[in-house]
Amino acid sequence: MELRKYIFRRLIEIAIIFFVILTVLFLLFRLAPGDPVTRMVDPNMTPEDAEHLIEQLGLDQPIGLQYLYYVKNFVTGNFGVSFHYGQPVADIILNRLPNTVLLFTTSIILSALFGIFLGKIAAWRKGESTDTWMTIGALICHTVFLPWLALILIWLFAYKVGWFPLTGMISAEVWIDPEAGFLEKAWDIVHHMILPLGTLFMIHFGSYLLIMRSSMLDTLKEDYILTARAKGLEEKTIRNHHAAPNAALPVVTSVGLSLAFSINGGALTETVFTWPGIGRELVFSVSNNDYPLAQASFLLIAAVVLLANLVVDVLYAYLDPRIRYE
Amino acid sequence: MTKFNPIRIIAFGVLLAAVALAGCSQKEPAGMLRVGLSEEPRTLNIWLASDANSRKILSKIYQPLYQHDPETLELIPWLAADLPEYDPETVAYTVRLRGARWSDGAELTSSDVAFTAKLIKEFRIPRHYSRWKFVTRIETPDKRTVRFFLKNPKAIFRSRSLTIPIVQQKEWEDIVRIARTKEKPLAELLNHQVESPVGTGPFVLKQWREGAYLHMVRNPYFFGTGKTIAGRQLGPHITDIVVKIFGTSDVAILALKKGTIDMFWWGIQPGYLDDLRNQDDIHVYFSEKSALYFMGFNLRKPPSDDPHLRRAIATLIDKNFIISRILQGFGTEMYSIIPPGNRYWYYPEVEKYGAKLDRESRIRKAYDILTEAGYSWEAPPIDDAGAVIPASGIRLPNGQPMERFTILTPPADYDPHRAISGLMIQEWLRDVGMPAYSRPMAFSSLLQQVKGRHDFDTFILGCGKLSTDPDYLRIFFLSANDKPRGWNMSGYRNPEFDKLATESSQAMDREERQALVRKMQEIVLRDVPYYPIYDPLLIEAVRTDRFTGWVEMLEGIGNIWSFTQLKPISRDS
Amino acid sequence: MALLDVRNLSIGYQTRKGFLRAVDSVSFSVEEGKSLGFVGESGCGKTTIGMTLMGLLPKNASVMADQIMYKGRDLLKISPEEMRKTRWKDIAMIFQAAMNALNPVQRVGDQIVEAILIHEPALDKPAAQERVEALFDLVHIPRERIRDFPHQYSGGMKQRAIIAMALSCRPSLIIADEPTTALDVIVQDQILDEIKTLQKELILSILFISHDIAVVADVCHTIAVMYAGQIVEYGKREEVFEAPVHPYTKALLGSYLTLGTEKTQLEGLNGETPNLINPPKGCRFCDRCEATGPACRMEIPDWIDVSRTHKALCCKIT
Repeated sequence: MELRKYIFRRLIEIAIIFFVILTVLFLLFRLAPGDPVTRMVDPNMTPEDAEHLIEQLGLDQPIGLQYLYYVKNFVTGNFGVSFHYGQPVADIILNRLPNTVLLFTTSIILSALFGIFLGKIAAWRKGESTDTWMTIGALICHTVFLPWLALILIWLFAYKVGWFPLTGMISAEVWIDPEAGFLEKAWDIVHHMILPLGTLFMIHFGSYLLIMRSSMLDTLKEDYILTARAKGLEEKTIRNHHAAPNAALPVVTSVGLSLAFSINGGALTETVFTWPGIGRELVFSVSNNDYPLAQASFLLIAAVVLLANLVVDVLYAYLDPRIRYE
Repeated sequence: MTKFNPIRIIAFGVLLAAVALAGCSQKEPAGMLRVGLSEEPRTLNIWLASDANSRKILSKIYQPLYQHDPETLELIPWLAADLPEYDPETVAYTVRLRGARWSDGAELTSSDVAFTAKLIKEFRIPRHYSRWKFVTRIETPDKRTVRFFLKNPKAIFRSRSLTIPIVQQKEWEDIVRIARTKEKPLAELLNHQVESPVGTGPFVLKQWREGAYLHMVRNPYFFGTGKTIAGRQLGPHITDIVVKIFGTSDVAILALKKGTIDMFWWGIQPGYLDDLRNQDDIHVYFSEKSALYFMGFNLRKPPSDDPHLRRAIATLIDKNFIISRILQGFGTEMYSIIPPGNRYWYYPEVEKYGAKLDRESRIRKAYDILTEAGYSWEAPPIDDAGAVIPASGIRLPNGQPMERFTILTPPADYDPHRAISGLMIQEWLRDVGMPAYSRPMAFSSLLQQVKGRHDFDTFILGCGKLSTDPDYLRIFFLSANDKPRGWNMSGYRNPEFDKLATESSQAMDREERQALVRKMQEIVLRDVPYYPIYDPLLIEAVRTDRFTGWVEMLEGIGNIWSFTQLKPISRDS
Repeated sequence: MALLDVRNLSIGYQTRKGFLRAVDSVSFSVEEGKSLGFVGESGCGKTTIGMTLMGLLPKNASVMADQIMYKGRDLLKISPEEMRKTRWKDIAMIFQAAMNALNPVQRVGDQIVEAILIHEPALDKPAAQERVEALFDLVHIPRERIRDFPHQYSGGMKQRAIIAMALSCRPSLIIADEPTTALDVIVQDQILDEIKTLQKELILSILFISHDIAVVADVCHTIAVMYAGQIVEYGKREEVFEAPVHPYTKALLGSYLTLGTEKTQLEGLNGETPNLINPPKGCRFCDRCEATGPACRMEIPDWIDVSRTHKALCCKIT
């Protein structure tokens, strides 16, 4: 099997790249100024306390030895304990990651679906006012400053109109109520998701719309579209069955990689909406010099993105029969 | 596939909104206080909890032997029955406990107290160890009595050591036993996961849903309920505290205005004030902080190794300008290292360096100081006719030109006030020809440069939470603390000061200690290793429609007295 | 009565530079079971005629004609929806194989089934697939290749598949637009033989479009030579091929006789085809014609009947 060989070769490449990232990450964090102890600005913290803590965190070891431990722990699946939270890194990531995936992955899927759908229509009606308005709208949404949009939406829909909760992922009032059932709790999450989802959707769908539009315009010039028309197919069939599937192919790559990157969430969105995701944790961990948490989070993202690249390439081969891997 | 139809999308939106509205009926019990926090607590492990947010939560659970009176800041017996008795002969303090219970119903005994102190000593818990290392022996003659034997007299023992939170032996002894056997015992202890902390405080943790909320309920065993302590009758009258997290102040303020929280437990920027003052159900509290924002000098290298230059710089800094223009009036000028709010220890008669002077007078005065110390200029700031003119080419007393030096500040996104103050000071120093350059630097890097490597000229930093005990004055300027990661960041070395400082730490008589501490303030402000600039006001906002009885205190309204005295307002009235 | 009878067909495009008259007053007809070949250089308007008959001109094109009578219906007067239904069912088209005429992401068989089902909704899918199998037999493609994707086919197979697709709804008229151009000579011959055989077997009318007069001569009963949007010579194959009268036809045949492969510049012809936005007043070929005279530039040429079935548009012929 050619494909199997190809995947195997790619997996080896990925492993090598991953190891390089692993090493670079380690060096980056050790070279960054500060250490997890210096940041504690508390007159009660004496230099002796600080040195004791450094020793206890294992940061007094020579850097080469620290690196060996780091690689060994990583290979054995031990991600260590966060300096900041005192919790196993794996627990923290497993706690935050599902929240990020729920919000960001949903938003990518929704905005990709809508973006592709609207891009298809815009290209089909090229030059008409539908196309003009859609393109302008997409560009505006694509370039708007996210926290600003988020705050406007919160102010309008959560504060002024009161349709949605201000921020957060769940309401304490609902979840501590012993009578609240599963449906009520599920709805509570959905209810909290609408605004952040809407914000992310508005920011992202524009780019998919624009990619799909231009891809579709190229496809419409293809000869098989003329064939389809000559066959006497209805315009809708030509658009949806012949033009759109071909035009959507390049968008697949973009969506696939966005999905992979979506697991790192977005620090800005998560901060404004107080969404307990991995993006904020990532930023905190870097500024707190919380090496174990920061390293593990970045490695997770690297691994997912690398694998997603492979998945997208393989998927592409399924979607486009012309592509074969040797 | 359906045709694209904007009407359908709008209809869908309206439907969604309608459903949303239906789900909008939130219910909060009358006794439930909802508090907004700006960040998640770091941990429920009291030994790891070095951050403000964890301490906000844990201070409702773990209690100390003594609290501070909200008005006088005097020690008030809390878990203790009365003030500690000191025996100078044996250098021992005896503390008698009042009858208190843990939240699991067990009795708090002297062995819990002894256990806590021994744990701190054995594991050398950072931030606590220095306050307990001089305790040589702890006796528990009976269930209600603890006796601490000290190596030598320590002034801080009462207010610093006896105010640490007490933990339950039963909860921690197994953990301690296991940690002791490990290669890194402290790390093991700090990394222990505390799910439901057992305390003696007014509240117990019911549930912490990480990333969402924290739910505390009234502790039925709280010793203070119904008692009058420090002239205050204690409840708590609140049944629940729900802590919610808000990633930005903007949204927290909206939540407060909307009534989804009753209190935002975080300092508010003055920019929000106008909006909040227009709200009927919101009250804004202004509290003094026990904080010190200052300019620090590196005494290890020129040009800041010269006290004359530091005095000239101090003279040029217009604190009034910084407070009125940069802090918009929400702060007080600081003249000594100890904030004026700490009335007993604060010494107002220190050298004030050009207080209330106008710009030109400051330049003249600084010029006089510098000329007298042997500084010279190519173009001096005062011309022959006595007028103030732009200066340049300042030379040190040894005739060398003064090289450019930097003022390190935190970046503007971390603290705009300090960053802008740095810029202002840069301009004021340039008025007399000093080549000063303000440079914002990421906070970690800044601390690394200043505290870790001692590689800097001058800096602007703040200490946000100074204790009421003035021992920090000693810690900041003791010669022995001039080492990497040490608190003597300036590298101030003065045997006279060291002697006074050591005496003050051992002075068991309060008035004697007060005199020493005053003298220390005087010396520090004479030599200016640090030059105090301001102490910002803490602005906090609460809703007034559901609870009443917030207690104002140094460091704000979020104190134990507020939480034990707050009363729900009856909805019927 | 002719299957297709076109009278005075003119086609123009509104372009940025002005109105471009791509086809100027052409008339022709195709009898049932016969084939008509259009031949001329690229840009002469022959493909535009094909597209007009299919109703596939771009939106900025305008069509004027006295009539385009097909099976007693004037295609100019039917609605777009009727036109759509007519396409493929009545008039099918064979595209050049090098063109991406088949959708690369759909299986070849499915693309043919789709054409059948759209015009014969009463048919179920298995029946349509059976017909595809028969069509594949007809054009000599092994049945097991039905489920292949286009890129798995050779150029000749793709062309056969396109022919099979064109035949799928049993149309009466097939427009073959450069069906063999991109193929190598041997495959080209096979395909042309295939087309000829099919035409006889199925009694098809074919409108054959090519730049290669040899190809047209091989297949068509009647030949229309086009130059700059006009038909300049029209007649039976033997007449045009053996006794050409128009200088342009002669030039085309000259280049054919040298047996060259595809040429961008015809042998013995210098200069460029005229600008169709502002065409020359007189004969359009006069600039490149060896026999040109002063009258050619001034007078609008007239049709000269050589025989009852053979005519040419030239001022020089008497």
